[in-house]
Amino acid sequence: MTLSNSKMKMPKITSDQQLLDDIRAGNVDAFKDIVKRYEKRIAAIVFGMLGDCQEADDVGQETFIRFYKNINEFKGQSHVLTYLTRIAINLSLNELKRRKRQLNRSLPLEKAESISNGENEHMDSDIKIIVQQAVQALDSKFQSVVVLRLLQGYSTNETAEILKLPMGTVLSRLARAQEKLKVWLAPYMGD
Amino acid sequence: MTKKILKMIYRYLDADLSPKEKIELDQLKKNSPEIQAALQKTAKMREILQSSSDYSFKPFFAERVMNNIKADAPAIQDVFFAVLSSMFRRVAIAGCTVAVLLFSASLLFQKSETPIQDYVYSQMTLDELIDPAITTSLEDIL
Repeated sequence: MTLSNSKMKMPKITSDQQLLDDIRAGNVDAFKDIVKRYEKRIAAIVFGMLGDCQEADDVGQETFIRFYKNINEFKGQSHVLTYLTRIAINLSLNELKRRKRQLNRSLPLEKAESISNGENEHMDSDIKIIVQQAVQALDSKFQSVVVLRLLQGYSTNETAEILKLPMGTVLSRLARAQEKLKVWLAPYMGD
Repeated sequence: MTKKILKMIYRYLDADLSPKEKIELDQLKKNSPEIQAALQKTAKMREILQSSSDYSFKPFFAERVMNNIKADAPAIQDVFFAVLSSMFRRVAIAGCTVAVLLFSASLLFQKSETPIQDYVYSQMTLDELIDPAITTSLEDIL
């Protein structure tokens, strides 16, 4: 039985534009599809910026709620994900400013060494924690470029577009951020 | 290793080098194990960063977002009354404007010599209402 003869039902994928048109016509429930489509990408950005905390979930929700409230102003000149990413970054930066106490950023050096010596069984999750802490130890202006470019894999062009920064600024911040990150991640870089 | 070379390494990994710069870096790499090692370490660091970015919100995230959106939305009856109130306001303002204009117009037309005004203002006096014959006799008596 060839593929063309089979009666496989291909799932219908509604485009972003169709969903937005539905939402603007009053179908609020269509927005749920937008949320499900992009929640993972937004989660990566928000957790990357804020760490694994309750505020990250709140900021994630607020990102989508803000997009919904301003949906009539979204003209489609950029991709929906780009627009959401921009909102998520801005809200995360606001949250960083609002924090009265810093998250516990300083992982004791002895713990880092014990991990690199294989004394800890949960290597992957510890690397994740170290990466989180390393990124949050950065200044917020470096965090955003690191999260987008190095964690999320956006190109430098895309990163500059999302953050509305000149390319030179993005490259310069990336270079400085990487120098700082090397200090944290040196045990894992094959020294 | 100079800062310039380090920046070139970063830009190389960002695919931001011009062809000329790429050739220059390739040449430097061939002659310097230190630069090769720096390039490998930086690439490894980026790999670690990217592999550590798998995050998810707590379960039922989409449902929570939708609940918040629906909770913020005004109730249908509130929307209805808001629309009604807005319509009433417009009608009321228009009505008042028309009333003011009509009143102003009536004041302007009060002293004009039109047949209608003549008719309106040609009121009979009390004397005219009373029979002139009776009036005359009363004056004669007095």
